[in-house]
Amino acid sequence: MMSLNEISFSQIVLNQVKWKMKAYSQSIIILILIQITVSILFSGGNITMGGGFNEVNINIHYYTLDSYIILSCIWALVIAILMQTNGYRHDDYAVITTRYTASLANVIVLFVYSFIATIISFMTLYILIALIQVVGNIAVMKEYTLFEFVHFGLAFFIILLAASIGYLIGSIFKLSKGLGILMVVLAVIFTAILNVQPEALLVNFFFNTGYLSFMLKALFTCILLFVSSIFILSRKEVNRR
Amino acid sequence: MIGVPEIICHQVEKRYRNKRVLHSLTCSINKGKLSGLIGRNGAGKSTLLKLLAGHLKPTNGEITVFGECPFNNLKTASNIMFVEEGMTFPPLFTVLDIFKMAKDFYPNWQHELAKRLLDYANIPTNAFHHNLSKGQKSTFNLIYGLASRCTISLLDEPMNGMDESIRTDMYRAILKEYIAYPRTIIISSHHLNEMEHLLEEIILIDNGQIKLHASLDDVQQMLVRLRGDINLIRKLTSDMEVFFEKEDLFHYEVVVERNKIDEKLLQTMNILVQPVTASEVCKFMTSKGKGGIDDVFK
Repeated sequence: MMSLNEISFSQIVLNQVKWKMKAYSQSIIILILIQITVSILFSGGNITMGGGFNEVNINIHYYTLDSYIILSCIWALVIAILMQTNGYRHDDYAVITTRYTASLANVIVLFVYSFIATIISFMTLYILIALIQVVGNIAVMKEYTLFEFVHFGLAFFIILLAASIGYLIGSIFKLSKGLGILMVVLAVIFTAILNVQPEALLVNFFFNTGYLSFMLKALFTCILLFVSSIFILSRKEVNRR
Repeated sequence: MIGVPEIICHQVEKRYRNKRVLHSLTCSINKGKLSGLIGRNGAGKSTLLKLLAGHLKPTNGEITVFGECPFNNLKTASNIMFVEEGMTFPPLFTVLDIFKMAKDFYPNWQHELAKRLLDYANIPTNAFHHNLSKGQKSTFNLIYGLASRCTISLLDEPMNGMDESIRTDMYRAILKEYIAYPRTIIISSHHLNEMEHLLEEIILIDNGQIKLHASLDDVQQMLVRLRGDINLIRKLTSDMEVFFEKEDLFHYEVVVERNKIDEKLLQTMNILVQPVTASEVCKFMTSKGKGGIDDVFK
């Protein structure tokens, strides 16, 4: 008679992370393609300022990370929501899994993917700047150091925040579509009645006390959102058809 | 250790919103048995298997597998393989990638056996699961389930969509795997007759309850068919439960419990006593009326 398999929680989570990274790898290619497309079509979404004096016209183009980070945030949000759809969730049950191992593996994958998305965002900007100098023969002046760990950390946590928000939205809609819609409606009514600007509130909350404080607040918020999502989905049944 | 119940269901009830699918379901399945879960469409077979696999949680009652509740339980998840039609795999993976993934998860994974079975079933290793035909998907899912060699294998309608020859082969593959590495296998199906030769015991489920749980031999001996003179048979069976009744111009037949009749006495009365197959037993025990479909046309 066969004996029972004894497999640890961490071993299962690590295996799931390994295979989920492969399974969702196309999403990274999609992000790269989006970033390249935006770079080609909109020159990286640069800001242009023009001015003139007598016969001299000066146009100053600012090439920043902002547009790439925003794109990565939208990408992370969508990927995190998609992870909660039936198609992806049911794939988990083809191998050894519980709701906790699958959710934890998803969270780790989102951490890793957010990190990769940050690298891609930086790299796209560097490639764009290099191309402008080489192909366009235009001199580029740097306003800040091209790479700073603090900027990298900021970008990473902004993308991770988007991913954790997406994961929570996906979890709420997974639990109940009605509840998801109700929460969105309530949020809209709340902002309309109180005449508050949620983005202003969020920016104020996260950024008013410096970069390090932002990173700590972002990390704490992400953990809170991910734990809430894991808890929400821990009792969810599976019905593959 | 054979004989110790590995799966225990006690007064299990399962509801989907207002629909009650299982109710007061109680059963225990011993270690190392190859059982058939038989029932009509909508009887609750798939729901019971999903509960055992931990995919669903019971509305009421208690389920224990290896002494623990299977819902959200890593120990049971590590030792149960649940094969069903709706199994999906990451769309980016070829069937060979899926096998490699399984190798990482299942300690007893039989990689070479899985590849040989795949080759036998003419499924290319570079094919994608979602591109396979319905029969090929079922074949692949079953190969996946067998090669994982888990302590408990739950096979929900594993032969759906397969052609005649591969069905026969796959039943043989299940049997060979079971003989070589005995474990608990539960196969749900509507078609008992084609897998009767494999089974040790039969669990008959009807309207969300266990109607019968017995060894195949017991089920085969349970009922008999009596054919002969209508008046004589009606008189003899007047105080018996009749499971099936058919009357035509020349014959009259009924199906009754074997232990309620005296075969020697019937032979002297020129009444023919015929055996009833396990498949027919299940059919009769879950029929609405005594006359089957003929009753509808009366």
